[in-house]
Amino acid sequence: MNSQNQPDTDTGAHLKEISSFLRHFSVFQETPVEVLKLYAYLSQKVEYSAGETIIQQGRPSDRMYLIMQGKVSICEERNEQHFFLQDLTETELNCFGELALLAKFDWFFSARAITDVTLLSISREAFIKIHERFPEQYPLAVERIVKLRVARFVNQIDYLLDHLPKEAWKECKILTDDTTDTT
Amino acid sequence: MATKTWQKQSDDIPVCQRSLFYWILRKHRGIQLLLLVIILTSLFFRVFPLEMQRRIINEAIHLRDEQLLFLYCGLYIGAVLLAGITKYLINVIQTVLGQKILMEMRTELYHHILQLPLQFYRKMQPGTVISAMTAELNSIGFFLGGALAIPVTSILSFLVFVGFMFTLSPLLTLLSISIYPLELIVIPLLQKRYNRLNKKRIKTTRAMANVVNEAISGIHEIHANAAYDLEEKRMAGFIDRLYSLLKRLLFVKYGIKFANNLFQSVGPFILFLIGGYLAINGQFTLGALVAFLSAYEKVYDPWKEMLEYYQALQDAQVRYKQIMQIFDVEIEHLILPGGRGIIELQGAIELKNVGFTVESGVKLLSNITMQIRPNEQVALVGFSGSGKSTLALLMAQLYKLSSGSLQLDGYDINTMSKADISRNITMIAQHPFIFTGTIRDNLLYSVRAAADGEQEVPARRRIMMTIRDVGLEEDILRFGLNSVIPYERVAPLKRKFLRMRHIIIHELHEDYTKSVEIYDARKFLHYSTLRDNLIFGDSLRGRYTVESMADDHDIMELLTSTGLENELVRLGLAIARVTIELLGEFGDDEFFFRGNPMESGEFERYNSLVQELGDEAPQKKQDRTMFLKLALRFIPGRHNIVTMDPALESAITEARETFLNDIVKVDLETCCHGIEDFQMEQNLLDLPRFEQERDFIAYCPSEYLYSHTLLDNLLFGALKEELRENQHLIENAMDAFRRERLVDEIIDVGLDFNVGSQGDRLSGGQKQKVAIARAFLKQGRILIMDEATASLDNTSQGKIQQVVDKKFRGKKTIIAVIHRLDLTPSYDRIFVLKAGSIIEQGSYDELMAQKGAFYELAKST
Ligand SMILES: Nc1ncnc2c1ncn2[C@@H]1O[C@H](COP(=O)(O)OP(=O)(O)O)[C@@H](O)[C@H]1O
Ligand SMILES: [Mg+2]
Repeated sequence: MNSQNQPDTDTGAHLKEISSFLRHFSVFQETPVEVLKLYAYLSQKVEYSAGETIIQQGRPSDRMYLIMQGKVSICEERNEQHFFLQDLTETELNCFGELALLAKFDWFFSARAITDVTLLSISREAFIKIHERFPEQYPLAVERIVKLRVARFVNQIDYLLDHLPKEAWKECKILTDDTTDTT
Repeated sequence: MATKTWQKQSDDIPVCQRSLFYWILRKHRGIQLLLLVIILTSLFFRVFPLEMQRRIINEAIHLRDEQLLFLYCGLYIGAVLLAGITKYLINVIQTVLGQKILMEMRTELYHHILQLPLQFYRKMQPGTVISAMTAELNSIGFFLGGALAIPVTSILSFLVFVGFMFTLSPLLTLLSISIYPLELIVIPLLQKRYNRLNKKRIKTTRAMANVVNEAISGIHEIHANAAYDLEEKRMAGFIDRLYSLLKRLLFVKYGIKFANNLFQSVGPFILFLIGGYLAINGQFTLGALVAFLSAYEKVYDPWKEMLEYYQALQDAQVRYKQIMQIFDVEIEHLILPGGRGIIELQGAIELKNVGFTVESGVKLLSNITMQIRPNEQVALVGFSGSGKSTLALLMAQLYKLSSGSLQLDGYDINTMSKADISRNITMIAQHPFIFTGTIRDNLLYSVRAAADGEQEVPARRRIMMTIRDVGLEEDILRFGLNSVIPYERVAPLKRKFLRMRHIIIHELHEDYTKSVEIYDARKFLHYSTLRDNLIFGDSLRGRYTVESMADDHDIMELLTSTGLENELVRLGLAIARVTIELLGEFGDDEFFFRGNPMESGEFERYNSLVQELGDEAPQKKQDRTMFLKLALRFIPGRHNIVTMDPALESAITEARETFLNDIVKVDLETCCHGIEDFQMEQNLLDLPRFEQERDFIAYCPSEYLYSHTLLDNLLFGALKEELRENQHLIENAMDAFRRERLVDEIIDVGLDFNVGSQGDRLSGGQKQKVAIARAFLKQGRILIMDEATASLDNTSQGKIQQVVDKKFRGKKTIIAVIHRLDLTPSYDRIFVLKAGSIIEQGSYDELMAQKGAFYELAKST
């Protein structure tokens, strides 16, 4: 116990720690410190052990997750089968569910813990409350989320196309070609 | 029996047509006679001192006889004392008598009001009835007690005093009372005006009561529309009017008083002038003059009383008539059948050319003819407003037909009593009413209402089955799990609850450890507050709450001696500082305080405290207490605001051991062992012996934690993450409980859930399910359901429809008003209503084949 020194030793240190952790994520790279601290304050730590489902496809969405540690798989469920889409770790593409901050929808994918994982989650409610206080930050936040989403989309499509058998490909015909053919 | 007396009274004058004096003279004659006797006695004791006065002056003082003086004075004081005592008795008897009469009046009036037909209440606003039954009757009650005694006393005393004066001096007497007749002209004039205003006041008060009543009932709408101004304006009109009426009433009232006083003071003037003249001239003794003056003063009292009585009588008459007038409506059906037993029906219903017209002349139903066989299941369908509900209400005798005939098993429905109907017919209204009380009260309402025990209270098994039938089980389970069960209620169930806890902890171990951090006496609990970590239990008498710990000598000594006090205050201060820095501008938004031991309401106080302190550490005891509180509420695993020094964790667990061992004397060893021995029944049996004297209940596996909810008790630990779904764990637990037949215990607890005012704490669907269960529990051959399942989800509707179709088939006649036509195929016959007439009837297949209105309706949905 660090007794009797200055009474305010730890003041704010903890939040600063989470804030600087958040700073690593692309979504928060340009967020001002005071806003970031609020995110840190309102975020919640969750732990899942390997094999557990974090997000169940079809359930209502309400929060996004940031990976602090561990590996998570994103899958698509169809006809009671899980199709792998993407692996996420704490280093690259280290978060998921970001669209839940912007809108209410039912999850269109599932997320599973591959190893034991530690996550930080931010709820849509917190996101909304923060931007009620800092409305000028909202456009930036939305832009960041959209960019993240695009990056994820590109990554997933790359993976799918790489793994799609050649026969399943269908070439995209350019409209103008079509019209010239028929005439 | 109560019902007997009601019957007898139905022979004499109807409640609302009785005069005010009917109530006064009808009963309590003995007491009234006694009152009169006491009054007469008191009269004597009031005159007697006057005579003594005269003799003291004229005889004792005049003759200078001390003996006589003492005697007369003694008699004087004795008489005065007795007069006081009799006056006290009169007051007491009067008040008691008045309240007794009022009680009878209220009871009989309420009995009458409850039976008034539904149509009456379509026009009558609840505020009027409430105002009439409560405040308005009260003000009459005060008058009632003295209604007979006061005028008798006053008149008699008036006569006696006048007579006494007359013996002293006839001339003076005549002169001094000559002014009274004047008053008899002036005062009634004023009173008439008063009565008029009074009537207006009653009307205004009632209207005001209605506005308030409506505002409270519609408070949802008011808040939702922020219609505060609108409602206030509505009220303001009445407030103004009442103010101006009361003002004018008081003007008149004090006018009457003024007139009285004026007349009163004219008397002595005449007396002094003429009496003094006579005394100077020796035609009158001094003693006589003094006695005369006293008598004059006394004679004025009864006179004043008579005037006041007159005013009170007028006032009471006005109020009484205003009350009785509004309820003077004939009751349509007797409660009990006269001269025969209650009819048991088979369930046949026959309508011939039935019509129903409301007072305004609008015809809601015309020429309805239908024959329903016993046990037949029929559906009433049609557009909304076509009269389905009206028809259902007619069949339940809740409305009275205007034309045609309606027979139940050949009995004319108009001749049947309420008891006949309620025994045989059960009705589920479109908008069921839920009474304040528990769910159990509401479920058993119909059964309990059958007062003479003709319907026995259903067995527990039947209640449980009905709850499942209507799909209430989940809801009631939830209520049960979330309730904090009173000590006495836990006792018989404790063993079962502990068994449930055991199932959750051991049989569902994997799920359990994922979502719950078990209360382990040896470990630091990251998901519990520091207070729970320290105290690790609860006092039944409410000691050791976060609020009271700082004032608890034992606790503070422990905290100080271990150095924890300092650490906790520092922690609290750090929490306050970070919170204030972070939330400085939005300290008013409750959302930001969800993950914080501080509450938004406390923000300002902590803010100013922290500003005041600057960089200093808090010294004052009360400041330190504030920060200590924050620290005690801190949950390390959930509150992000600061992190706690890990060294503090072990310090707290050590302090916990000291607290448990030394202060509350809990044997930690046994407490922890409980986890293993838990399953052995003997261990559980041992506890109750000393349970009585214990105040402190530690979080030991074999303990029931009385200040926690049942769910907390079953989980026996703190949830690790609020967002992680613990639903899974609970569902599995319920399955396990079902296997061991333990679920009914939780439902039993849930049945005691208090539904709030008019079922406010239930959802629309839950209310409807409760109403359906209430009806299903009641036995009777005819069940009428008016869109009974309309506000339920499709699955629930289907489920209940199945119960009706399968369980009641061959047992009950069913009349169901149905909105969803896909529920109609299982009905034997369907009647289609349009604009108050039946336009089609037949089975589902027939009607569909017919391709008429029903077909069109079915297609469009
Ligand atoms: N006491 C009443 N006074 C006047 N009109 C009434 C009264 N009761 C019901 N109505 C009217 O009678 C019609 C039928 O009502 P109701 O039987 O409730 O229809 P449904 O149950 O078929 O929707 C409606 O148009 C309603 O406005
Ligand atoms: Mg209706």
